[in-house]
Amino acid sequence: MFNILFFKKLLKKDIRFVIGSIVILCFGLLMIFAPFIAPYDPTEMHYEHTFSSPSKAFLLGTDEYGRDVLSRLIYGTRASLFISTSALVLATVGGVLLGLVGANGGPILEILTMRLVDLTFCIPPIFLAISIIAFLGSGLGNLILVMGVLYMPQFARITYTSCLSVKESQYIEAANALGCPRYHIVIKHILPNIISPIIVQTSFSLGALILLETGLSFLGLGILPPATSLGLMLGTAKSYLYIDSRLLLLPAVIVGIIVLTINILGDAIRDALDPTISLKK
Amino acid sequence: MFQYILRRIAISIITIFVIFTIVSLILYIIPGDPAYIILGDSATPETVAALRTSLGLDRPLFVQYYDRLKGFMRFDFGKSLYNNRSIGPELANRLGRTFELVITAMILSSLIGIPLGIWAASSTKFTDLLISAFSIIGLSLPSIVSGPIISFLLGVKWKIFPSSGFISSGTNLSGHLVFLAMPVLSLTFFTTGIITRMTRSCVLDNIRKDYARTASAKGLTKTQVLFKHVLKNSMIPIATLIGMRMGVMLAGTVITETLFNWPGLSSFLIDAAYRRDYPIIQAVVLTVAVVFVFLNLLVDLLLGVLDPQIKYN
Repeated sequence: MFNILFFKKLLKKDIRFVIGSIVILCFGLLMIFAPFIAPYDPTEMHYEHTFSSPSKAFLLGTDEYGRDVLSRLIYGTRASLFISTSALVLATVGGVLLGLVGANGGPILEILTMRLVDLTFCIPPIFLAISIIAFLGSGLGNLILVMGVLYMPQFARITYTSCLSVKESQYIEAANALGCPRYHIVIKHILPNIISPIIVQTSFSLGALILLETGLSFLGLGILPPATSLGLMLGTAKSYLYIDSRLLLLPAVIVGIIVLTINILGDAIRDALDPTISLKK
Repeated sequence: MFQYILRRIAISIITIFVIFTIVSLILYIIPGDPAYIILGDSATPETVAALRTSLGLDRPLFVQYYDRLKGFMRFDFGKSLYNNRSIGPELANRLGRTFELVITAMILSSLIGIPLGIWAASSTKFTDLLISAFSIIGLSLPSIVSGPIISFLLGVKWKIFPSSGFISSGTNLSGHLVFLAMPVLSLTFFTTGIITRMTRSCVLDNIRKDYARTASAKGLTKTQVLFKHVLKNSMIPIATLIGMRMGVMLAGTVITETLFNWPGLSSFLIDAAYRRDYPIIQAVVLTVAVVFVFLNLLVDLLLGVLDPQIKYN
């Protein structure tokens, strides 16, 4: 089901997927080529040009230290996307493993993993993230680790429930009867059949993770200066709302655009994978 | 039914108890000496010893746990490490202010979202597309995006509201409401998007069902089918969603309260996180968990009353 043909069909049929992919691709290119695109070093301060409005030299103006806003936005977006995707990879791999172990590892492991997953659903991730980072300390590595671990339960839950429904199928029974070892069944027969709900979850979790990163950096508990991220820019710009509200507005709008793109793309993928949902009435 | 309610309550109490245990023991699970973890870089032998006595870390683990549990039952979370004030009363005040934000924003979102969703599901394709686009834009305006935009438009550009702050409703009610407006608005967009979308898909699901077709076959107009039959059945999942969303909105207040300087529960946690004020962090996390579990319980019980089809086994 997940082959090139599937995506080709999606590209032809769904305008949302096309637009979403193009925007995501642009952000991806921005991430890779940031050093070549950005006109200045994002940490370079031009003290004679603080709070200058957009001009030819500084396309989007400068901030309180005279740093070029456009360059900071580019590097900030890059940092936010890098952290969120890294955390997403961690969450997906860890969560799917947890879910597979829970569904196939016998009753004791099942209770242990799934009750733990249930418990984490009682507290929104951002509250836990703030509490944990308060003690672990902020910074890039800790941020990715905490965000990744906090989103594992969602993947574990979805893997676990899809696993349970697939496990009853006849082809699993057949594989069992043929004497396939259990790990072989899990990897070769169960995993490919539960991949689509996991993919859908991935697309929506990415949006949530970007918001979590932005939120934590905004609160000063994420990325540390002099590095920059969209959240950090929002956090410092908050104090200059009346001096130069552009500094607050620009990063917020970019976060909005990123999340909007991911939402649209996620919707397109979800609808394509779920034949019962259709936009037509 | 009665048994079902009892069992749900029992499960909720056990969940809270387990969370309490984990939160209480977390400092001991993290490798390293708890006092050193709390003090971080500023730890000297004297400050560590003082902190141990003030937190009671020098007593046996079991005694500490028992004392904490006793305190928790009486809503007594000990004292702040920073200013030595007792946490309980402050927490209760701040919880009230956060609830004020969440409940107002939720009422506003439901008032906009539910009618929009019904309208989208029951009107022409063009209107439907328009409303669906509106809801996905709403979904992309969580408080970290909508907050700055609102404070720029309403606070700086049009100068309708003061940009941030708080006046207690006791001293000046109208002043209080003025400060409430922008934080509530910033929380509203995202949830409105979700409620619109859920309402639309619930109503659409039900419109396609056999009973709706039967109702229109016997001669009811489209409006009659919608309001007499379809809406009744759609309200149950929508009510569930609203209950669940209250908890998620609580997470949104973290950004909103900081951005608009609203002295609620979340800003209490953040201030404590900067100072590593461990008792406050513990108290807030526990309170959030209790609120969450309680909301889930409420939703489940409400569903039991609303939906006669639910089986209680």
